[in-house]
Amino acid sequence: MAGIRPGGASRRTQYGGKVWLSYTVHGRTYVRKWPRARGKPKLPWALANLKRMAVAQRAVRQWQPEATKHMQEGLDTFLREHVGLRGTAAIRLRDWLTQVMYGRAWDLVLPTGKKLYSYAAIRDASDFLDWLEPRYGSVLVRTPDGWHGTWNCKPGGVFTMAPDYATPLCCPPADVPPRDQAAGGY
Amino acid sequence: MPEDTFDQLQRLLDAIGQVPGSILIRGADRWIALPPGNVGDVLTINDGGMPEWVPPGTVQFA
Repeated sequence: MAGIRPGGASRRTQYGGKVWLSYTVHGRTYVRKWPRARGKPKLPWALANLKRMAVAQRAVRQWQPEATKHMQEGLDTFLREHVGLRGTAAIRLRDWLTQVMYGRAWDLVLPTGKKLYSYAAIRDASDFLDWLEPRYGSVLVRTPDGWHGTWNCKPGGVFTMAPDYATPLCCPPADVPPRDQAAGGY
Repeated sequence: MPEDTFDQLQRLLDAIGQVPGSILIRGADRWIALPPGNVGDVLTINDGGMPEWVPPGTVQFA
């Protein structure tokens, strides 16, 4: 399991400069330090990826140590429930963090049972509901022909059941019939 | 509806809110969960155009 160190001045990995890689090409053996020192990427998408990873790393440093502990527990739960692996993890915490960043990890279950969702998951759910109704202040109501958002409510309006009891509707309080006059009573 | 689909929908909406009694409303930039009000509260629209729970005494009915 890859470890994530608490924040520090060093930007090198724990094994930086200590691992040597040897390989053979066309009969010649090369030995070099691993990982290879690389320059800053030049392509916009690569720079954007680098920036996202830096933001995630900064966030992890700020949340240390509780968040990493929760993430490790969440990762264990994820592996148990979704991958079926036990013991040694086949997915690194770093890779799982990347999944969270890109919205491919749906939720994180804390030991208390509370679920934390990635913002990408929340955004996906909201975009999904926007197919039904995107207008500000809408409330989802099930009508006889499907779910619809009520959006034409005026300030001061209240939700009450329509006279036919088919759907809740929004109307001024003065238009709400008294309980004893409502069809069927309450 | 297949149970898998139902569970997927539940998980999808759980991403927005998990508190029992919540209501889904559309906020300025995304859907949010309005937490449940107190017993007897009335769901009304505030000056900003957003639904909110208020005590029944604050609303003048007919």
